[in-house]
Amino acid sequence: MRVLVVEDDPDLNRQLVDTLIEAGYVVDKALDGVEGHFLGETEPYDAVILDIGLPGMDGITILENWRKEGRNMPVLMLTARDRWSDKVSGIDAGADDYVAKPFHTEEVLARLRALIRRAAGHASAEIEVGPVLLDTKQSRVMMDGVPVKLTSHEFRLISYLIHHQGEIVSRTELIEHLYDQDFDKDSNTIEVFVGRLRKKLHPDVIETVRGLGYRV
Amino acid sequence: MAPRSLASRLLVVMGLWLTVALLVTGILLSTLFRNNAESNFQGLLLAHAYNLMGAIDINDKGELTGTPNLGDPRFLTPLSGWYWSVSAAKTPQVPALHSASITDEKLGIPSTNDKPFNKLFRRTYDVNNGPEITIQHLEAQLYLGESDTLYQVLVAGNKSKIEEAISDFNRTLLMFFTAFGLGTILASYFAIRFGLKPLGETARALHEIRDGKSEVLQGTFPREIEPLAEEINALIEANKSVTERARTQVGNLAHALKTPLAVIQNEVRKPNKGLAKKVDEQTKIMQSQITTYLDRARIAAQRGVIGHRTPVTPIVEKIARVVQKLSPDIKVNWKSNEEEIVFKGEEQDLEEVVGNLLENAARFAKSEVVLTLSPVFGKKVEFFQLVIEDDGPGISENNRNMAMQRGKRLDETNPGSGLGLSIVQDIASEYGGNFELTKSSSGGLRAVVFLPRIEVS
Repeated sequence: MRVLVVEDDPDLNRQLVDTLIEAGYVVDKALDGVEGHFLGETEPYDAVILDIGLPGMDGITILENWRKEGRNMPVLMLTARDRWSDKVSGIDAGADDYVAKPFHTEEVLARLRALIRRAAGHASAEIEVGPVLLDTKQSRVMMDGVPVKLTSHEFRLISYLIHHQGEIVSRTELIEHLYDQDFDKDSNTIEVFVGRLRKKLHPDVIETVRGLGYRV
Repeated sequence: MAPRSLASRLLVVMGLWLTVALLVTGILLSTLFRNNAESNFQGLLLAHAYNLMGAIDINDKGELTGTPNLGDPRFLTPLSGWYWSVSAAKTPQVPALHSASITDEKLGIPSTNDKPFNKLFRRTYDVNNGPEITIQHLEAQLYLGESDTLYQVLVAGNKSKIEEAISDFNRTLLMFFTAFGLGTILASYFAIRFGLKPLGETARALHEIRDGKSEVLQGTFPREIEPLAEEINALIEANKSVTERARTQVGNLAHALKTPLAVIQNEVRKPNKGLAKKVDEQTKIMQSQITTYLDRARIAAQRGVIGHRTPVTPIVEKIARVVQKLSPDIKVNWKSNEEEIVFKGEEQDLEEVVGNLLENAARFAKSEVVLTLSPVFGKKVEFFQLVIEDDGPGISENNRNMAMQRGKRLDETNPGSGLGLSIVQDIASEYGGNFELTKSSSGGLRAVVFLPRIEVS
């Protein structure tokens, strides 16, 4: 899962990025509105954490632009102004949830998880596909009720596929969502991780759709 | 002493002037009338005197002759006060000729020393002939024929009649002037009331602002009051903008502190002991203080600010839409009867109340939240009622009281600052309303808030 953090306070930005990486997300960051706007416009993110008060371009404007351009990834708004009028303008601009400052990063993490899950159309924190169960809260995968030990890359891959269960996900899309913007997009690592996952879970869990991509 | 009203100032001045003016005019008219009447009377007496002088003569024996007829029947009536006589100047008391009206009464002719004749050989004087009867005598001396005996004619008229006429005139004048004066004062009173009516309308318009029925002074005012109305509107605007600026600055300070606080809190969260624990503890206190004083600043700024009116339905609609988006799994319903309800207060405060209650309800509800909006008809102040019910687990009675305290969180696992309910409590009591938590019909929480409303006519 690839997430963008747009927050102008460098310390808070770092704390958010660290927490997210620790939780297994791939994270891009922006310290001002203009850069944040550009990244959200051009890169495919599974979710964005967006501060409202930003230098260069404020969060509300960024959000409105994204929505106008049809970028519909879930956006979690961070705001120091916790009056309802601020919340209303944020939500009306297209935010999906908000967290008022000051906050603990864990709270942001919990809200983000819920947003991504909701965006994929799953109400529960646990998503089941046949014998495989993805626990988004604990960041783990169970096979027939038994936890399976996965590396963070392996977890990200299976998690993305399960979130988009039934859909054919291309290799490019996987690369875009599993690695940050500096990753070399021609690498063959996706095939390697798919092979490892089939070995650890079950050969039939991930289906290869020839010429198009993978499907769970 | 309270200053006199404008109307009474105008009326007093008006009344004083009117009294003086009418008094002077009255005296003048009365005097003119008297002078005119008297001069007419004297003219009449003089005419009679000439008539008399023309009608008498002296014969060869030196005796007075002639039978003067002055053509006025009053000279024939005894005691009429009208009489004439002709006598030798030496013996004025013994008339040689006299009118039929003279019987045996004394004519009361003064000596020439007391009342000397003038250059024209005439004299005029009044004789009081009993109470309220004044007779005016006109005497003239003349020589008749070739004789060198000086004769004296006297014509007298009853002057009391003209005094009566003057009194009649004065009475009529007084009556008319009194009626005129009172009428003018009455007319002035209505004129003043009509003239000052826009002031009353201005006061009413101001009252509507205080009542919250209007935000600015509305209506068209006469040219004299227009600048005042404009100044009042400017003052209201300035009042609002000062409040708004102060609030914005306080808000800016608070919000500027929130990001560093978040950084500090997150930095010390991991090794939660010793110094880190202390810092965490203190930042939490700081955060709570910021929120407390931010709310106090808001409430203090709002106190005494006049002219707020907030239609309730659009706010509820807006907040319900937002809460629905934040909690897509819960059904957020709201209902209201057709009547338009207008909150007598600030939009922001209503948003806080509705927002916090709806968000809390949606957070704990299993499937549904219902908001009901209805007017309450009170004796003096009109209120409206917001009822928000959820079908969640509800709160026990002990915990309900705790839930309303600032910063208390009953459920630490659920996100939220825990301040929602205490803000609602603060706002409700600030507006003289009420906030209570009970059990909903489905076993969840039922929050009821009373807030003042404006009667929409």
